[in-house]
Amino acid sequence: MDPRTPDGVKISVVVPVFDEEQNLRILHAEIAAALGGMGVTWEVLFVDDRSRDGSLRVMLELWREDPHVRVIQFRARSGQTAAMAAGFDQARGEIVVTLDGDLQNDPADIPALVAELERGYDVVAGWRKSRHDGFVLRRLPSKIANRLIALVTGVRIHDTGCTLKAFRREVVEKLPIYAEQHRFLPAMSAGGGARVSERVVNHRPRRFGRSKYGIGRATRVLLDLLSIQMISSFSHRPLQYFALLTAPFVVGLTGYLTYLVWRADNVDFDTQWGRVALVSFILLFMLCAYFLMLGLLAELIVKASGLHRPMSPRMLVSGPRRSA
Amino acid sequence: MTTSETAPPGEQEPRRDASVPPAPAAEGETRADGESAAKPASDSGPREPKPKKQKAPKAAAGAKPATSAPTDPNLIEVTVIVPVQTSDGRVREVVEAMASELGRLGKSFECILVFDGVRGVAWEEAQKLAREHEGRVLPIAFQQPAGESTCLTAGFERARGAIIVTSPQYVQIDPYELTRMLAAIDAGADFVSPWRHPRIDPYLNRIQSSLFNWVMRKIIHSPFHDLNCYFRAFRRQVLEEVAIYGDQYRFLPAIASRQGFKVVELKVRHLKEWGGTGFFGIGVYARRFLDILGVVFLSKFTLKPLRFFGTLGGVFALIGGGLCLTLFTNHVILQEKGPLLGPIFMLGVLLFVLGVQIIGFGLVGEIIIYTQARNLREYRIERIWESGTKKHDDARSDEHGRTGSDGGATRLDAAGDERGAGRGSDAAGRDRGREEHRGDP
Repeated sequence: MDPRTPDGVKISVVVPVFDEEQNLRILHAEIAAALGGMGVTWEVLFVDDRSRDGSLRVMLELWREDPHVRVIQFRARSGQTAAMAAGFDQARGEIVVTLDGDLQNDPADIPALVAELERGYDVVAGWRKSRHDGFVLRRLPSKIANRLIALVTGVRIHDTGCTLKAFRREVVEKLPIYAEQHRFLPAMSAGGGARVSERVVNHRPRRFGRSKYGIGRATRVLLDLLSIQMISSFSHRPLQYFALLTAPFVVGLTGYLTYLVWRADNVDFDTQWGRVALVSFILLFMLCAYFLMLGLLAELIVKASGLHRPMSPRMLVSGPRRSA
Repeated sequence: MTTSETAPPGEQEPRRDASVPPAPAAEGETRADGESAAKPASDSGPREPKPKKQKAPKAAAGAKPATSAPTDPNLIEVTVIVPVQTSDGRVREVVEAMASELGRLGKSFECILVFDGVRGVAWEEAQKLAREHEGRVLPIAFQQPAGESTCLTAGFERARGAIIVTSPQYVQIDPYELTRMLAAIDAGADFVSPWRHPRIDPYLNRIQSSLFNWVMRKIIHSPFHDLNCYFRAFRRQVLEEVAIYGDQYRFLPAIASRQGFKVVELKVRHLKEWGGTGFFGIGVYARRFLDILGVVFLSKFTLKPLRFFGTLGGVFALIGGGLCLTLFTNHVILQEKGPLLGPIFMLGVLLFVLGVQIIGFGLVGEIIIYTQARNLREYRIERIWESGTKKHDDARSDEHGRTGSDGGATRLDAAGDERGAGRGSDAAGRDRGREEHRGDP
């Protein structure tokens, strides 16, 4: 048995909770039904992100009724990703499943996700193929975001925003999870060498409570995307990333130089366009040099952190165990 | 944020009266409790203030095995830290005021005097005090001036009390207010922030100070009225969880309340004010501005530097690019006359470069956060209800949990209890090294 799971808990379900008073009891019953039917040991962690309604009271009732339940309460409101991180930190299971507290995910899908995981994957993401949310405000932006994420990270997942995901313990233990990054978890773990898969899951309309999301996070998503691209694919060699960013400028500079050489006889910096070109040239050159320096600085930071060694050997460790 | 509150003095008064007399009654058993728990020193009781605070009023003072008392960390309840920055600091006044007040309350205490590169009369006085109070007064000194915050940090590192009080180098606030502040902590506060009201210093000072506090209220939504008064009392645990450096001690009430600690503001009687009369000077304003900038940045963007740098840089780059583009289209398409390589072009291209550079900084910031993410915990756990240890402390925790969820009034009871739960699961061999979410130094 894995020494890190002395209780032999097989599946940990992590549920971030914020104002879900009415949903919790139903959710718990559904989780219990789904996992109870699998014949494995399990636990469910409710992480209370300082709900303002009676969620904590309901959670504690459940905690008293069901020994599978654990409840974590935050001291200050910290967000869904933080709640997941706390759940990951506290989870004891070999497999960690995350689930929304709002009943839109169907716990009945958990066995299928786990089965997929056992077929040799490290991360299995849920895919809400038929979503029950507004199109303009929720589905369309989500679709665009997913396309972009897939494009940028190279991890082809249709629905990164679905909270219902299953992870192997090794993956969540190694991943730094912070700052609203839960949607990038598959991409990030793939960057670390994990094998990622997805499965279609059921998605239900909201029954109680209201959505805590809205549109208006487009710029944030774009910026997050930029950082996730760097972190997921270049975190061990940031210099390359910065060099890549200078590529358009380098192309421009080279083109300009070629042009100069080609028309060497009548380059005239005294014309207006000539001066503009010269100034732009100098500034773009500075920009490139500057980015390379930043890249070196980033290399230094990564080296100093000691994080550059690791990911692939770690993943290798989980190899033999999986086949067993 | 939501847990912070402002308590007018009128509300606090009765609590003090109520909390002082019962102390001796509770003393015997709670003390035994504290001893038997036998925790490591670093762990000593930040979350069990109630039992700790009320112990041993006369016993500690009466027995007074002066030299041995301070070596036992369990015997220090309150640590008073006084940064001394000029050689005429009134250390004797401060120490004696604190000593008499704490003695009256029956609290065992220590007083750490941190000399900021100054010696002179105050240092000699401190040495004398150290002899007189036999191990209760600890003067330490920096070779060179290091700044008030560094002094405080040095004091915090040596502090052994479960409650920490900081005081300026003179009796700024009526010592009696200490009683009320400690009573507020007894009543469940983690941090007591004073509010000098009414202030007795010159008009100009007051205007500048209230301007600062107003800006803080607007910018970081700090609900406090007097962040510049350093006569503060708080639980040790606050500093164990809120890392401060530089000049951030000033903002500690706001930062602590943001992290979910219960911060109470208390109106205190202002006795006198030293130094700094008149216009504070440009340097002070510049430093405050940078402080605010740093605090805002850290409180909002610590984990997402690119959101800050990216937005800023993006705006610059867009403006710059836009200017250049407009200029070029005007020239090429509209055949406009006028200088191409003029101020607009220079401004545009420089803004663009600046913007891209700022974005680059954001990316480096992201790398830093990514590599350090393991050290930056984004959440603080109030408590955990474990499944396995349930039998162990079922009734207790449950009751606390319920009351805690009702109003937050007994939040600290619940929190104190969590340590119990933590230990319980320790015993059950289930601790995977994560219970010390709060205890970590």
